[in-house]
Amino acid sequence: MANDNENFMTNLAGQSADAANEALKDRETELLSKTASSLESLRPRVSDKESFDKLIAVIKESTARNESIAQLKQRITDLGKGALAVAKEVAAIAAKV
Amino acid sequence: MRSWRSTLCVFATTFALTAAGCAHVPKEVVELSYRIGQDLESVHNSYVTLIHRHFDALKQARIDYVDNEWAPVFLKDFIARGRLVDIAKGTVVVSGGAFASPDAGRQATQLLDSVGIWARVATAQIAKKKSDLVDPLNKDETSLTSDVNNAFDQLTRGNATITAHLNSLRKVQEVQDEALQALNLKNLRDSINNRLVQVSDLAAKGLDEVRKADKVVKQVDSFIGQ
Repeated sequence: MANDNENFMTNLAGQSADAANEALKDRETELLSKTASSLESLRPRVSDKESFDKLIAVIKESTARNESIAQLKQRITDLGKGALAVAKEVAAIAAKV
Repeated sequence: MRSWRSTLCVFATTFALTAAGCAHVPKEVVELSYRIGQDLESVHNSYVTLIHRHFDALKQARIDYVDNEWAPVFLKDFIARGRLVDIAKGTVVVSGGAFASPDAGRQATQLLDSVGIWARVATAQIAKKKSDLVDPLNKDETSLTSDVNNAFDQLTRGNATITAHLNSLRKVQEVQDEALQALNLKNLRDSINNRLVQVSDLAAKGLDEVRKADKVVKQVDSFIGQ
């Protein structure tokens, strides 16, 4: 029963809303035009992600190569220490023989 | 042992020089690139704030239209169509899904119910109108914000990659410098680089002179032609 009353009044309100829309049709068109979001002109146009990712991948590969070169000195030093340790061990074993 | 290490050092120098060339990479270029990355984040935040303010202004204009222009026209019609004045006077109520005369002894309750329904429905209709006008803007705002975030993410990622690469070049240069220093060759490299810069400058000046001379020749040619 309560729903019937609510639906009845909602239907009347819908008719009133239609009447208001019709009466203000031109004004509303003008408002929508003035307050349009201009989405396409605001959207940033950056390079497409695929070609961007390809460039990044190439640079990262080159960066890794540079990092490897930069670590060369440390690796050589470590290698020297390792070789020295092995030589000492070999000398110790040879002394026992 | 010393000799073996020196040989490896020379190898490292040759390898590093071959791999990275002789270009000079100042540490400031890495710092500048890093700072650009930080500034990008600040510009990103500012951009997103501007988007929200822009859309807030558009939405407010539409809400103002509903409150100040549409709602009065709607209410005027709905007061008549919904017989609010008759309901308020107690001559009619909403009952059984239609307008009806109040039942004896229940006038006050039915009047209150009817006014309540009328007010709820009117409020809901105005809210629906606002939503119809504002929702498309909310959708556009979300879409634009997402696109801007993606664009800035891409820029930040690209810049971070460049910063890391520049930094790696710096590291290679440091290794080169240490290796060349060990072989007393660093001054030689710097000297070669400086000479190359001087030669490049001289070439540029020479080109300017050639251009000037070419202009004079053209002017003389034009003069003779007259």
